[in-house]
Amino acid sequence: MSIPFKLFKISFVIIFITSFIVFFIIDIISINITSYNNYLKTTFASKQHHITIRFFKSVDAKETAKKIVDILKTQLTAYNSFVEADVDVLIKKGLREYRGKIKIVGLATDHYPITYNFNNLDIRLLPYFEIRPTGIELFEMFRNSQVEIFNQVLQKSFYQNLPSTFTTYKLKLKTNQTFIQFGAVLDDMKEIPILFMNQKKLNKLLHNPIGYIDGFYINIKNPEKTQLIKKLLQHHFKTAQITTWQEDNPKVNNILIVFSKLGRIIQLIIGILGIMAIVVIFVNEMVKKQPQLRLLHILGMNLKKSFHIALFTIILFSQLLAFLISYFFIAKEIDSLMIIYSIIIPILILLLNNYFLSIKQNILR
Amino acid sequence: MNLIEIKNLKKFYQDRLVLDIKSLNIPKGKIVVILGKSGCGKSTLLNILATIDNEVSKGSIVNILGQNVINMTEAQRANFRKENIGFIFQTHELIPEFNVIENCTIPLILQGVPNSKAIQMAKEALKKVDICENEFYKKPNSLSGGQQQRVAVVRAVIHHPKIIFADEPTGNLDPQTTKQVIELLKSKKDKNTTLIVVTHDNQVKEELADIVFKFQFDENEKIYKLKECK
Repeated sequence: MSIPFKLFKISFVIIFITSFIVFFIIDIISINITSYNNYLKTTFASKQHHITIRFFKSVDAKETAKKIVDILKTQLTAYNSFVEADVDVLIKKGLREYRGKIKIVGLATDHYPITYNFNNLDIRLLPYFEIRPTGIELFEMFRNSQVEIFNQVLQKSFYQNLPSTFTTYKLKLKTNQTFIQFGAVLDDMKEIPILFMNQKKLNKLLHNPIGYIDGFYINIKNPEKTQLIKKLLQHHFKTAQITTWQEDNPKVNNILIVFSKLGRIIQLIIGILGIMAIVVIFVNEMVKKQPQLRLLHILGMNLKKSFHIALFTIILFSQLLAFLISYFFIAKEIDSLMIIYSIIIPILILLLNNYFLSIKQNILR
Repeated sequence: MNLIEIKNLKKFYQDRLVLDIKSLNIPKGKIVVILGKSGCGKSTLLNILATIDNEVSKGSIVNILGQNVINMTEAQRANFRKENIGFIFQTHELIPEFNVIENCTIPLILQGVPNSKAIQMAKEALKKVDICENEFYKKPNSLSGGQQQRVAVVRAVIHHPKIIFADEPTGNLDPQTTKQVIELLKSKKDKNTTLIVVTHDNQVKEELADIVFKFQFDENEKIYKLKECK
């Protein structure tokens, strides 16, 4: 082992540095991708319900809620039933008006918290008494049908400059007409305009029977486990449609996937360039030191074995160093993929070098 | 008992027969000198005997220490060389990046001898061939031709190989150094070590040889044949 290190001292230092730089960059990209993905996932998870159950036929809301609580037990953090309708509306305030298709969601408010966090609303409008309402106060007003909530898409398409007080609008559905009070704006990260209102009020507006629900929104402790929970719920609610927040937001989810893939491609390119650089440095040195290698070969040194061990050690240690520096000094969110890289890349380099060494040994004969 | 036994050894180079030895036996503990003109196949034979080359015709048998080295894999042959063979070359072939001690310890390190013990052994062996202590950590290029060849001899014998191959060991040396090297090789002769020298130097033959083989041109077969000289 000491012989290759003595003979290729400088080259091995260069290979070590090259390998370290390559893997350090890959680590940094990996950290950034992971951090950004985690940030997006956390943001999503905090602004949206994680799982939606839609029933195709009428169900008993209380019985179903009890069943959900029983199934999910400690995994459950919040839930509420909903009624939803895609409707053509005319929202009017003075000369301003919005005409178009929106989704109206009626949220059940029989317990707190619900899946939408009322403490976390983006814009809360000042009420008449000019005190910014707390989340619970706003929830109480929502429960009593005193306020309705717009989502950001609806607010942007209807009213760019926010009024400083609660404002009353006229909401006209095809078959009905009512007044709504605009209470706050919710950034739910959805791409469609949504108006949230008390479930009872919406049922009345849509002429639904008393106690009618379309399904349940569910929030769980660990949003990473949505697929697992989905499967569990599917097992118990065979006729219902169950979707996760990723499936409900395909556009954003696709952006996440593309971003992640792009990162992987960049990592791969850097990795390939790094491998090529290391192999070129090594092969170049092999050519330069051919007489010395020939002599060592004659004296009985197993070139393949010796150089494999030497290179493997160098690359592994450089990767470990890059990994540790990234892990301890930059971020502790390193991708588990890096562990796989750490094993695969040295093996790949060894296979390539093995190929070149085989050629070299034929020359040495 | 024979140390080396060759039967029906044939080597072709691009369809041309370059080596043809029906039978050859080399006993243990002797100094064998192989003579011949350049291009007669001396180095080819040496490479085969030294297990560097095993690409010979089917049916060729080269038994060394009871093992047919022709059938060995690359790794097995490397291991065999490491354990049993020492080499002395015409041009010393010392590694320029290594100092004198490091060059001498290569065979020991390859055998797994601990570094400190290998250095100690190298120092003792170098002293015996009159290499001064102040030369131990010098690079080979700063030594004279004679000193380099003595270092090369130390490297060849330091691990007590059973066979030492010497390819024109005095080829590049002046008469004075040639004499020194011959004396050195003589001193390495013992019942357990066989020295095989390829040379065209008569002085080597006269002073060293127990057995002499010579490549002579066979007019009928148009090839050099190896014959023992009595």
